[in-house]
Amino acid sequence: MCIPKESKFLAVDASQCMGCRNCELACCTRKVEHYGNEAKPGDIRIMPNIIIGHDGNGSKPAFCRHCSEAFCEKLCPVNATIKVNGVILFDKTKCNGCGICEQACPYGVITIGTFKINEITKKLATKCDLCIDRRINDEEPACYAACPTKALALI
Amino acid sequence: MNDCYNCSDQSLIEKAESEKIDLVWQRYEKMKPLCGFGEQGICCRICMKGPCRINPFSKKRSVGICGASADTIVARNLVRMIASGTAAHSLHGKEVAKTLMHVARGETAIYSVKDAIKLRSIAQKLNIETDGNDLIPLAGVVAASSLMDYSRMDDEEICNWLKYTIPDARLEKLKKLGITTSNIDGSISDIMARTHVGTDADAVNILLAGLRCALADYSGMQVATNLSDVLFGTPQPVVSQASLGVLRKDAVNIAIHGHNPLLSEIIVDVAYKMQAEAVAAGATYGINIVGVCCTGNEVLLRHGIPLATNYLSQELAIITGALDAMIVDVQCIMPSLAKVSACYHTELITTMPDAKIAGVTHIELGSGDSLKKAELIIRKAIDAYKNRDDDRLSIPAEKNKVIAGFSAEAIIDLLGSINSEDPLSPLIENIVNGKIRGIVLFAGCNNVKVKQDHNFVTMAQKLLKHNILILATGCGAGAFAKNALMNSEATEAYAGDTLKEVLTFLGFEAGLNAPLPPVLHMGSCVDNVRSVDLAVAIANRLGVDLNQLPLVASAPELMSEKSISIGSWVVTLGIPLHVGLAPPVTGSSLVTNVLTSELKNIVDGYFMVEEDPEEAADKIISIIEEKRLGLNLDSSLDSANNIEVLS
Ligand code: SF4
Ligand code: SF4
Repeated sequence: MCIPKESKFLAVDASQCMGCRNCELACCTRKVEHYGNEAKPGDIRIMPNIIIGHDGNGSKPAFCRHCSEAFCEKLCPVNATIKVNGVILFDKTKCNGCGICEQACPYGVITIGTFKINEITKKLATKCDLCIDRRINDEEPACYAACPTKALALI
Repeated sequence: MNDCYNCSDQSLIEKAESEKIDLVWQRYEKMKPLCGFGEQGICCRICMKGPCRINPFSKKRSVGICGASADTIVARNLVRMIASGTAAHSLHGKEVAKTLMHVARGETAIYSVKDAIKLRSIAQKLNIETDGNDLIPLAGVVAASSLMDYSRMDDEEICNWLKYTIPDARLEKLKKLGITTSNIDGSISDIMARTHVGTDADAVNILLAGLRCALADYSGMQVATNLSDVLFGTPQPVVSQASLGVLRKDAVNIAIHGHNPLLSEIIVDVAYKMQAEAVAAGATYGINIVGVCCTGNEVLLRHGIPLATNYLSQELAIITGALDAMIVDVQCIMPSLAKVSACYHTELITTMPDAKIAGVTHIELGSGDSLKKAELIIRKAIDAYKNRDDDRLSIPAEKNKVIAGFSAEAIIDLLGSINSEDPLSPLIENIVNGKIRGIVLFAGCNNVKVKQDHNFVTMAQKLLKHNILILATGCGAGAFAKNALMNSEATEAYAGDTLKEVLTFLGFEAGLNAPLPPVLHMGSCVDNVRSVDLAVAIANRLGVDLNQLPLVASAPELMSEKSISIGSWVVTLGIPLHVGLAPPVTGSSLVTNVLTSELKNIVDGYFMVEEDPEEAADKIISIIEEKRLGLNLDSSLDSANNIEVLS
């Protein structure tokens, strides 16, 4: 897998988050584009990997920190995680959709999606991959690009 | 935290939760976080180049694709809310005026002139010759003169229902500002036209047009309330009950919900005639009609029909399991009722051609065969009663006594029993001598963002303690009725000493043998003009303008576009208005500033945003004291340096 040498990571200034959920939508839209050719409507359950929460004082996005000692990495029973240049990714071929990583993630941003592969419905964990495919083309991560106030930053 | 101030409502929320039925509160939680762009009014969907959002944090002044600034976008969005509210009220008024016209032309057997005295007094007010005019032709002239307010072509003229109902000084002021209106429908289309892409971009100019449209709203509401009185009678004090405990196990319970008395009156009439059928079906008490929202207020005031609930808890009426039918007309009907009623035996029936819900039985009222249709509706309710599941029944025990029906006429009649020469004098004397410090009008809706009814009740209790008399309309009145603030006991419990003394005196003089309630129910939300009529009578009697009176309005739980249009004419008439939630304008400091302070210099009234009900009550008290000072009445503010010396 080809990952740009210098990965930039997401950061947030919560005071500028308007709670519009554009980032959630952009994340899902990219996934739809991504799986678009492989699936027909209803085959896939798509969930965002950036999730806007609300704590009474305002809204705040939760997203993957690509932790250095990541729980998802440590707890995955089939060792489906790969770490490239600090970015944690899942290996689709190994993941069996058990959901342990979903429960382990302290930010609550790993979601279990359903996918139809060769007429067999399979559950797979999905997480933020910092939009590797977009990065290769020198595009920013979808959520970052979609954020109208730039509450999200790339550092 | 509870979602409702009212405990019996709260118990039903818990019942719904155990039955896994989502109500407005759960839907709100699921909707969170709400989009901040929308909340601040800086999302524009006016053209298809967009939608555009303005970044409120941008260092550079961010603009829409067409170049519209945050100020333009916020102002356009706001006045479109005013236009929608105006349309809702004034269409209601137009329907009533058209019905009066049908009566005059002998085209309807269902409706008639029930209040001839009111008709004559309206004619007098509108400067129409009454002598020699028989009742029915006079009804035609009054209807025509009201409908003229919707169709006048001469821009120089002013709507009858505006120019003849406000003090002269106020009218002059509005004329000078160029914001009087000659045509209600015209003012609405003016807003839609000027907010089309690439038309009016000057936020202040847009807001002024918004005020004009708000005055059109006022005129349409005057038509709706006054002509309804002609057709159905002017409310007089009446004793009834409120809260969901008014539903009965031994009756066919029918709720009427919405706003327009044209329909509810038919249902009420027909239901009285069909009691025997209900008894035959096993409901020993017969038919029990209850009201929800403003239809509820209309029939409470005119027939003493108990009020089941107000806006936010409308779904709970069904959750009791005791409601056999809910008949709805227009405005504030949650579409969710379809799903909630499907979880029970309750028949939900829509009745208006412009207010249907997909999948819900629609039986249209309003044409020649309305009586037959109404019978059909009641029969459906009786049939539904037979399917009621007693195991799911949970009628709260709580029901509170309500004394309602305080139209301006009723208040003046009541006071007239003390001094028939000068009926207003007992009220005015007590305001002058300070036993009543001032008057607050509570209006407006419930909003899921506020614990239901909490702001109303908390503020009222504090204001009453400070000897401030309270008037209420709409779902605000519903909140007070449900929570036992509209009876003599509430006067004993909450009124300050001098207010209590006055209300007790007035109550006994008027032959009630008990104090008047401390919160006077003046009607539905369209009836807010009743309180203006009272205020105008006081202002005229004192020879002052409305802005000088110790009078403040408050909509502490506002929600609908109608509340924005009402609020806007309230301030345009010179009355300060408290709102318990910021309207979607905070994305523009210019618009926010105009509404909360600049307006004061132009029209004397202004918006005051305060979310905390205790603080809001304090602020209202100090505005009232300030107004007293202005009238040279004793005030807790020191006249020399204008600081508060008493609290
Ligand atoms: S796009 Fe930006 S402002 Fe909108 S919810 Fe996401 S982080 Fe917040
Ligand atoms: S009218 Fe202007 S601001 Fe509004 S959506 Fe169109 S381009 Fe954007």
